[in-house]
Amino acid sequence: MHDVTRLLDAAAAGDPRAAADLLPLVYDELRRLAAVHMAAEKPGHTLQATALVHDAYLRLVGSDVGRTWNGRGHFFGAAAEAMRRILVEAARRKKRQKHGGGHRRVDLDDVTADPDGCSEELLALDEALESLAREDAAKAELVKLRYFAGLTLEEAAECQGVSLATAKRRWAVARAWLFDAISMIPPNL
Amino acid sequence: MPNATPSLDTIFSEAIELPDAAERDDYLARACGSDDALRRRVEALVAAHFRAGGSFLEQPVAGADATAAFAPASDETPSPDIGSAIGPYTLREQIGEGGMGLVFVAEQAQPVRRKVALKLIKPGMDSRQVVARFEAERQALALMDHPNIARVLDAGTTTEGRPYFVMELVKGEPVTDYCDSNRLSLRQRLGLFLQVCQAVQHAHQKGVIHRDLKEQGRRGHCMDS
Repeated sequence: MHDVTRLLDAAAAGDPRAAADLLPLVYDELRRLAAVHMAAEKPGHTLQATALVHDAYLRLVGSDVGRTWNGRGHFFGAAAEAMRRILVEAARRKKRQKHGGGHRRVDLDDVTADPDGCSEELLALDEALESLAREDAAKAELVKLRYFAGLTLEEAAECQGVSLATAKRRWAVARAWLFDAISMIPPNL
Repeated sequence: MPNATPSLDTIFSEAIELPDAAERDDYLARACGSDDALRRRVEALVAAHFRAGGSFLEQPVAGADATAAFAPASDETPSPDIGSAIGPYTLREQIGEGGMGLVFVAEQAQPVRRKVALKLIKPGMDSRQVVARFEAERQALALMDHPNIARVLDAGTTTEGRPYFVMELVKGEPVTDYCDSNRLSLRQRLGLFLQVCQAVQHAHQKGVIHRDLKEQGRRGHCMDS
């Protein structure tokens, strides 16, 4: 677990490799924690992604005392990206199963129902987010922190080192931008 | 947004606070001046803002989809443990599964050659709480000293840090099957049941409660005379 704190300190000091190295550690921890949660709970229990992220933080970083938001920001950035990848993988897998990809015989029990088309929405958001990241990295990061790591606007603002007012403005623009992109009518930015 | 233009963000934020379309047009005309491209961009975003409504993206991703994402995929290999060695034990077929652990038949090589039952905590389940429960189960079994309760022979942790413990391998079939295939009379069945109760009583006297007695878990076999 000390690996993570070491990486967080290095990332906070500006080491870009440290920030990248965080991702696989956090990814593994999220999967592991999820397995523990799932095994302990009754079927039908829903997994709160943001609770998982905060749980992973406690387990990987431990006591919060003395840690500035700059340090925590890298953790939550990695956690948000990890969570995003886990969910997108699952959405893609679900999509393949629905369309009978590979013509495997699949028991109906194995194919989770997707009546709301949530997978499609998530995949569309993921694509739109990629585009947004190319246009405005800070806004894309903000969306990831809020949507995938569950941070409040206040927490996300601190993570990114901006004022709450700035974060609010960026959030409003990003939401509109993504909504448009997902509706397939991107504004000509 | 080739460079993040703060002015676009600011103009947008002001514009969406004006619910009246005419007021917005006025404001945008003043704020964007002769910059038509900027105005078009802001107008498109403002329109998207009102189409999106209040709830879009406001709730962090959670709920049923998050659960499904973490469930193991149906095409993942069933058990990576079979054939692998843990100390002197080589895992053979899996014979059981509980909430926390998997039970295998294992071949012990040292210091004696024999078949044993090895219970290994499931992969990915090594949070402190789960490990503590697993260890408590092992301890409880180790307290038992009764001919009808399998003995704990060994315990340890794999190189990956997964706890396990080793027990006597009890051959035999579920007691219900045993009774049927041997056509036991009611009296004989009750006799077997009494043996089970005595074993459970032994546990109770040691301060241990089973909490998961199942008929399938009780085995019957003939003792070699």
